[in-house]
Amino acid sequence: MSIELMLIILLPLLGSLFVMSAKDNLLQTFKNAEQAALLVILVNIALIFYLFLSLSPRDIQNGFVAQYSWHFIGIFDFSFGADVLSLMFVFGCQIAMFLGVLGIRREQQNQKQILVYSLIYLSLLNGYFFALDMMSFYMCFAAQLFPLYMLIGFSLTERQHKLLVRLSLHHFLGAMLLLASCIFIFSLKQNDVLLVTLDKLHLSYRKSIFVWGGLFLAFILRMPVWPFHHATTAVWGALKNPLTFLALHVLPLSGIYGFMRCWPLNIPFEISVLTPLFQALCILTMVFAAFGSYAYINAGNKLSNYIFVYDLLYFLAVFLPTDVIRLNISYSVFSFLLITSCLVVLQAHVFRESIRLNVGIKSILSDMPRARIAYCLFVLAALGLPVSAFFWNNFLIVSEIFNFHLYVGIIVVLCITLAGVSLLQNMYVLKDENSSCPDLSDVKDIDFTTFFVMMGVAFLLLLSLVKPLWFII
Amino acid sequence: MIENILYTLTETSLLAGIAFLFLKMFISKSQESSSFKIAQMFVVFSLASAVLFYNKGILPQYFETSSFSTLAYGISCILVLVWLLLASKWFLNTKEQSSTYFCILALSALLCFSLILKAAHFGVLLASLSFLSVIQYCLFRLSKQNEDLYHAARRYGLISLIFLSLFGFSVFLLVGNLSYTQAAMYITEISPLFKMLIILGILCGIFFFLNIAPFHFWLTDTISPLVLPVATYFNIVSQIALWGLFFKLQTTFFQSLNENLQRVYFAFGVLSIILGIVGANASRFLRKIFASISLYQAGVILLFISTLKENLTSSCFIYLELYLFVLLGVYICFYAFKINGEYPVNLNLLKGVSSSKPYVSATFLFDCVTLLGLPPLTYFMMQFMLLTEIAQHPLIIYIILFGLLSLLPVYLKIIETIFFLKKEQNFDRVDFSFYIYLLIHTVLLIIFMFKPQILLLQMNILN
Amino acid sequence: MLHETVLCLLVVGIFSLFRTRENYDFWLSFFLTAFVTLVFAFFLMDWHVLGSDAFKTFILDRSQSENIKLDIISSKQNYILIFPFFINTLLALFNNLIFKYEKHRKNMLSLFVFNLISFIMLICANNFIQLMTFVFIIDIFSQLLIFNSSASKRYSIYNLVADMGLFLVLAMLHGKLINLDVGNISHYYETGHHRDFIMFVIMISLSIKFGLFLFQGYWLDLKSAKFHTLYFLPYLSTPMAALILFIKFYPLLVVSPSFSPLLNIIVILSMIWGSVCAVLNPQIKEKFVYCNMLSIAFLIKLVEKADFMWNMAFSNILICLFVFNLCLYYLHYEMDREHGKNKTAIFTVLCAFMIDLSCLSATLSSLLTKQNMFWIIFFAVLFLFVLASLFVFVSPKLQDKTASLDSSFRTISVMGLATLSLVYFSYPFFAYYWQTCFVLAVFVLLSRLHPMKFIKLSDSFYAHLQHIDLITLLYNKCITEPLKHAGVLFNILIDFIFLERTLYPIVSSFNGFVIKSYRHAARLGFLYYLFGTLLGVLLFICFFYG
Repeated sequence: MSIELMLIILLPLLGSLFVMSAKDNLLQTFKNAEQAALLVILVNIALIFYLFLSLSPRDIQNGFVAQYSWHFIGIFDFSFGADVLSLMFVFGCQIAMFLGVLGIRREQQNQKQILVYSLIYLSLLNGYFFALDMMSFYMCFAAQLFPLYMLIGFSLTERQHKLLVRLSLHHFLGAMLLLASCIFIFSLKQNDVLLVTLDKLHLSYRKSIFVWGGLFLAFILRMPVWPFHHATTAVWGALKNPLTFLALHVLPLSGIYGFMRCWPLNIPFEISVLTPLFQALCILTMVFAAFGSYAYINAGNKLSNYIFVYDLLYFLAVFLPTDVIRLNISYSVFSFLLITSCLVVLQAHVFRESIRLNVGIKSILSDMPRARIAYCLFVLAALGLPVSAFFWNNFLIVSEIFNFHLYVGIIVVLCITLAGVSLLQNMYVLKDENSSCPDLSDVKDIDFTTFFVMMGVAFLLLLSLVKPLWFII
Repeated sequence: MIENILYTLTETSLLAGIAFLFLKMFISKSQESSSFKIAQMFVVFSLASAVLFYNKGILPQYFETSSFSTLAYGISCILVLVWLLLASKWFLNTKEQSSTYFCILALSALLCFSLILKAAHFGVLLASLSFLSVIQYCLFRLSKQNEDLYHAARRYGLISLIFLSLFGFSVFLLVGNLSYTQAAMYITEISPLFKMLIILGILCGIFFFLNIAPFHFWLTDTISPLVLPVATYFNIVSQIALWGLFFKLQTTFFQSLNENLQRVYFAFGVLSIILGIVGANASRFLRKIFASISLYQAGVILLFISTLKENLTSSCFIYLELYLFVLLGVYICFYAFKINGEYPVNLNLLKGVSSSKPYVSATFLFDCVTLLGLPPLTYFMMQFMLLTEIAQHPLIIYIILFGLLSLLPVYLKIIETIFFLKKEQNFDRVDFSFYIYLLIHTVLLIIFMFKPQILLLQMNILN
Repeated sequence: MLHETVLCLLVVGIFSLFRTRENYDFWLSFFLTAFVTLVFAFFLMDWHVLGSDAFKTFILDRSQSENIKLDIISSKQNYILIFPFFINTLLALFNNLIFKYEKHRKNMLSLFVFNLISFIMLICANNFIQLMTFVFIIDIFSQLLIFNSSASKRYSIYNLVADMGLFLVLAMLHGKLINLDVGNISHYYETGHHRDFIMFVIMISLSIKFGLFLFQGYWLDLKSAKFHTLYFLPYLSTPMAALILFIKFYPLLVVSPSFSPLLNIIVILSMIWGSVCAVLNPQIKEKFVYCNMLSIAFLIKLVEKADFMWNMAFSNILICLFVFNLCLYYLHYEMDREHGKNKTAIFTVLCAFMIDLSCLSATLSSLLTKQNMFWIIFFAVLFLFVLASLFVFVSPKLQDKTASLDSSFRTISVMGLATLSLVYFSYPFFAYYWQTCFVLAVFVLLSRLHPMKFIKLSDSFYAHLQHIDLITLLYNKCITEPLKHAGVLFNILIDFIFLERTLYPIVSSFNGFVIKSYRHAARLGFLYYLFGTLLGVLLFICFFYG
């Protein structure tokens, strides 16, 4: 048994209990809470590194480096295990949340509650990525929704809560559909089933529709695919808190992970007729997002739409009838998470300063040297700088798409280009030194710790051409 | 002789308690919390007797004492004990004068539960239900402060009379075959029309008492203006005994009519779910919301029963038990929230309460999340096991799950009001004992989460 | 070998990044420049002694499908291709050293050196990854050199679009070939299709990077950048990266029947537009941009006519064009900023200018064949005209109509004669002596006669010309605005009208209706009870009997 896995899953939960027990309304309280959260995540990162180090070349292909079994309450056989795929996702999430915690240092409201729920969310997320059997997978899939709801609720204003209800309905519907699938599978096998054996189940025609249809819709509802995208994008646009934004940002990626784990290579015949329709919807949504990001001048919308476009790219990639690019998707997602996390934190800082000083965001970076360097670096990385794993793995993904569908590939590249152009335009608006702007001498730059961490992340990205953790795997 | 007296200790102790309290009420005009202590003592004594003589009884032609009836009665006693504990706090706070009267009604209700659960004769059942209706009518009229409640009590009286009449008519049609086993045999021999009429009266009467749609209106209509202890009774305390009655009849009397009743249960179940969802979404009053949620749960149980699977009745009983236990936690939180000595009824009055009452709010949140069926909490496990049993009926599974989904906005609204909105009221200090109750409740829920075997032990008894 | 050259240059580049005191800036730059010159000398020696091709490969990642490699191939072809960039970089380094207004010599030196390394790696690239990587890196170095937000904004956007076009093509190739080697490009059509499409995408991408007709708008924005970086960019950054890509991608281009006509159209339009705008435009920096557009378009055509085989003649042309930029820039600088006081500098520049012109004419003469005669002559005519116009523009005294044969003109004539003599005795150009003389003579005549005075247009036209940018206007009307409107339309139609105003309100209304009905029914009091009871009884009866 591997105790490291359970530590990675449970440590954030323990951290949240510590933060919960801290007294309210003291500045020192938040400092302690924040340090506890950061420490917990750092310990998790160290454990993940340790797991990576124990990977052998054979494990990289198709093995699990660590496994943990738990006969839960005498009914279910929970299994947790880590392979490169899950470790990359988990690692990316830890760094994203780490940056998110750094990003909320200057927030005024509900910091303690946000930290508590974000740690609970992280714990469940880790459990989700490490789950090997259907029940533990479902439990973490569904349980995540509660802390996420609380996180978003604390970050939105009263008038925006209607958006949150819509979003929650979408996600909960997905959870219900997945539960129905689990029920049918469980009743068939009278026991818990490993995710790798899902495609070997012999289901009747009707059951097959319920099971695969439920699985499919459950993960789709997490993705911003039309017409389910509206709830997610509306909430994204309203969120100003970077930690909450990142928590919500991880959710579509968890849907992609779900597909990678559960979805069979050969789509079941019963629902294969709907596949072209969904791919078409996906493309359509990508086009909306790309055009939307270009059309609107709001910087928050541009970044959200950019993230949107890439989520859909991964979704399309996961749906290709090939297993060849699975690892590449995970590497790309890892880099994508890092890049977008840094951009989100920087953007939140910029917006916060502009609200505080009651100025527009135009040229605001010109008086923030650290933020400007970090922002430019990460925007370049987001555009697909070839020296990062983001570029090479996206290249492979797109070329694989071209292998199967030429026109889809062309549209994908066009959308990525448009999204990239919008991001670039946004960068120039923020750092334009030549336009006349009001006095920004009071503007606060990002603190040195945040800058240092971001440079560390940039260094990690810049060193990796192929694999993000090339020095380990 | 002595044995027979001992076997009836369960009931006689309650009668003695009632008599004692009556005397106390007439002799001593001052109201103290001692009435509650006395009532609790008698309840404990009755419970102990029931457990001791769990399979002993008198008059076997009228009463049947089994493990199931004892278990159901035991749980009812525990619920009544907790209810009396909470009610005593309420009476202390509101300085109501009728605490002894209330205790008398509580003990009387418990007596009715005992009779209902042990009844093996329709005549006895009818009499017990009639007595229960009277007690419930008195509970309606407990508080003299609200005029509307008088009208509601009158309406309740009238409608319960109608249903009791229907029940009585069905009993009459049984033509002397009043014991459950005789009646079960008799009903297979008569014409379909008579069969239908008999079952109609009995089932509709039971559904009326169980607050199953569309007979639920009297409760959802009145639960908000009712005083909190009475609301607790109707929503929680009375449910185990009445559902226990239903399960008992299902396994004895209704067994032979399963094919006909399958459709009936399905229809009423679906209707209860729909009306429960609509009612919960339509209301802004806390008790009404949870009454509607109880209606939804009743519908769910009916849908489970409609599958006619073996052993599902026992599982449903445990499921109901668990639900009531969680609901009890919710009601404890209702007792804990006070604004200037008043117990808030409207959800909007609880805006931002989490900032001043974090522990109570956290428990309330925990209970709401549990009721929502989020894993890995016990309620989810129970629900999952039941749903797996009925995997051959995907329609029912989807109805239940989509029903849960439709209740989501209700729970979200509650959570939003308590946690995300700005506080507008000043809440009174919470009695320390409530923290103890909530702690015990939470700890028990967590224990059940990791050790559901404790709950599942009852399956041996129920089977 | 080349990998040793790269290593030395890398050391120089890294060393120059270290922070030192400002006082030492010049001397450190001097020594580093000297070291680079030494490296160049070794480069030439290696080239001279090179026998067979030498490969040096660094494997970045091993995998079952293929290894990701960085190749440095020391072949004659690569040396020929690298040579002009090396020379130009050296000239840029010398300029960096002597230009007195440059404050950050060391930083500029490091940029130039890293840029050169990128070019070497791009030229040596044998796989798609290396190719794309160094194209991007060159783009980034250009951004750093420009160092001005408003100037670099459109530059980055256009280059991003171009790079994504290349990304698209390479992804398509890789998808079919499952191989990263550049050499396998020619095998694409055995399994793949869409020749015209691929050719079209490549040509558009390269045209953007070259800054040819329709795509030169972002170069015009560079007028707010510093002048002494402006001369660097056309011949040591993205256009040259595009040229290298043009050579490497030729198998994909020539298989399409539409390639030649398309190229001809682009080149002719670029050359004509470049010449006209270079002559008419009153802004010196924009004149440079258009002049370079003309030159680069011609160079592309020349390479295509030579079957994409790069040779020393092309290297010479590149060097000459670079030197033209440098000379004209210095002439402008001396005349405009220094008001012609520094006679020695002017004299040196004029000398260099003449030598350069001679070299160019001799080189072009050496390339003259039946196939490319039309193009060379066409270019020569346009280029001389433009050059003369530029020359006149940057030398204010020569613009003075009332001045008769003044000392400056005398100086030019002396220069011309001196150069002729030099050329006569210079071995490589001996064969083209008369052609060179002719070209010089034409140039001097054009400069003297100042033909622009005959076609000078009204001041309002010039003012108008200064303010409008037809191509940008075209882009805005045909691409940018429609894209924005399409985005707004999509969001409004699909998101807002369909979801926010149709679907969600329908669901909300339905919910509202149900809840209202329920509340209304509940208010009926006893009737509600009665109705419920009757409904229940009815339900029972119906379902009891199925």
